[in-house]
Amino acid sequence: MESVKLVSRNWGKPDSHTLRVYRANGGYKALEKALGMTPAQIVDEMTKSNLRGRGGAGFNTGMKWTFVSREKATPKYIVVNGDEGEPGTFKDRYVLSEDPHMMIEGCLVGAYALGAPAVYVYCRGEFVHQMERLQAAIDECRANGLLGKNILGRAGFDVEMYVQPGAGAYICGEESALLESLEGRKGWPRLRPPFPANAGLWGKPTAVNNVETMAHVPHVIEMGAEAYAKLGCPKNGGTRLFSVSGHVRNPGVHELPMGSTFRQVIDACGGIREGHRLKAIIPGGSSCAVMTADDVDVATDYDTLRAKGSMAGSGGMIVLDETVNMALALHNVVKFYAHESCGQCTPCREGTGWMNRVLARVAAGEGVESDVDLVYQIAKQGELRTICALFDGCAMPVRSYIDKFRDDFLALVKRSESKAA
Amino acid sequence: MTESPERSCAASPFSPVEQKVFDARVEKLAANYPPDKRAAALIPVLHAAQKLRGWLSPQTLAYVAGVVGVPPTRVQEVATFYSMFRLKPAGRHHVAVCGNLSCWLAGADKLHEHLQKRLGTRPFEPTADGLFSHAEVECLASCGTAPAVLVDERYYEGLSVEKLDAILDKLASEPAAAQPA
Repeated sequence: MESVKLVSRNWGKPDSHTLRVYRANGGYKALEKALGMTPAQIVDEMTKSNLRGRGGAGFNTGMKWTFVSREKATPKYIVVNGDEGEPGTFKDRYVLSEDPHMMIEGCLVGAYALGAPAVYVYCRGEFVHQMERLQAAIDECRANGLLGKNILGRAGFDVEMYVQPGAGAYICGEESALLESLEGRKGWPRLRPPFPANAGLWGKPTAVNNVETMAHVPHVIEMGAEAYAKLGCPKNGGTRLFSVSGHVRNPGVHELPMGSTFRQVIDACGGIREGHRLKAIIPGGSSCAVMTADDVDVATDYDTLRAKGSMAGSGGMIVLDETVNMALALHNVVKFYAHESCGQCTPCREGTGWMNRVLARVAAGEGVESDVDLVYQIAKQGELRTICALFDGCAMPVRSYIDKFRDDFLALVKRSESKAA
Repeated sequence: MTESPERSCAASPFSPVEQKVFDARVEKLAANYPPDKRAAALIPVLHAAQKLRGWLSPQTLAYVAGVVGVPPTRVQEVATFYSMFRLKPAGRHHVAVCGNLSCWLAGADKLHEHLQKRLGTRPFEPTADGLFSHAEVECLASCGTAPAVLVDERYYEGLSVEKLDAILDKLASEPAAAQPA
């Protein structure tokens, strides 16, 4: 499949992170175009483009902006989610380090459309290099009339942008936990409603958008909603950055149209590593239900994967070959959620730890068959009973790995049962 | 935020040189938030303090509470919640090994096992010479270049046991200049 480069088109060019190179490649032209439109027209274009949040939830970006634009309270805020931490996902780090201006331009279009005077970019604390690159780009913008007062000479178009670090907590990728963290508290998700669009940062209307999502915005404006939407498939506009890891020949970030099939994505990575065959695919970060080799021709857009009982998520695809025992893989995944549960809701705090302990037993070859059913039941009983989706993000892999690869679990259990006998 | 260090009830943990760096960072951060929302600076200020002192002592936490203008309990709550904050002295270089699925597929467990054997310490515990500490860390967003390790503020990716050894050897041979006591 022909790769269509929008967000990653400047990566690899010398000094791609600088204003000079970004401008030489047409940068900040979309902002100029946007300033010739009304804010309402921009929000409308965004909705029509079918750009959907690239962080994982896949909500229509223009719809989200519509909710914020309807609010009366001021100031409104834009918060960019750069807390990339979903296992398997590694694209936003490159947007930030290789072409931060593209994301900044998207934020400026958003700030104009929503009348937001301030943008906070929340980056995970480990992204020291990325935050340095972003801060340098912000400083360049300030020095060149692209941030601060009267941007591009437009009287009253004033925007400031700030970089805010996290400090190591997966839960802060969840938007309401991110806002708590940004306000200087531990990252405990908030009850919704109210949603951040209505009452977000410091109780003000807030658009929380993923880093990659914001980097798509200039392209929607530049190409027009219709042309952008057409690049993808119905209701899933444009391209997306697939972060592909695991057993492919060339792991890495590949930009492909929305709706590309698993096979097309794996082909873009040179196929499965030599001498091996595909066993399982985690479509968009470790929270997704696993898919099998039989699903290789399924499209990876939000709606198709949802209908198949999984999620497109963040586009962080982990490809596994026949050498992997899926019970061991699941133990690795569940250990992560047990560590990262914020502790607010009992089903998650207790449930993830409990599943982790039972799976550790199974993985160590000390489990019994009923352990597998026990883990399955814990997952089932905790689902949809918590404030945020972290527990669900653990339950989905648990249930799907057991449903689709039960033999891998039984192989480990049998080993321990024969040892006991 | 700028006027509160004097009013803080806890004494500053910083040397005069460190204090200058810290105050400059705090002053810069103050401009990032509305005047009545300075509590938002808490996490960046804790980062700044840890970078200077290597860890967050009870005295540092109490001092930060005064600087940011929040109750000490809130600082405690935040410092204990986030995994990057260290509440005990770490090694001069802290080595964090990612153990998540993509890194695990690429042999991260062998890497961590080797590291534990080489250093001979438990997670977060400094070696006898104070040079290193280690721990497992959750996904570093380096899945495409697995396995990955974060040493202090720097990523090292696509590692093998040999490459990791070479990195540690190099760090061990560097002078301790400009490192916090």
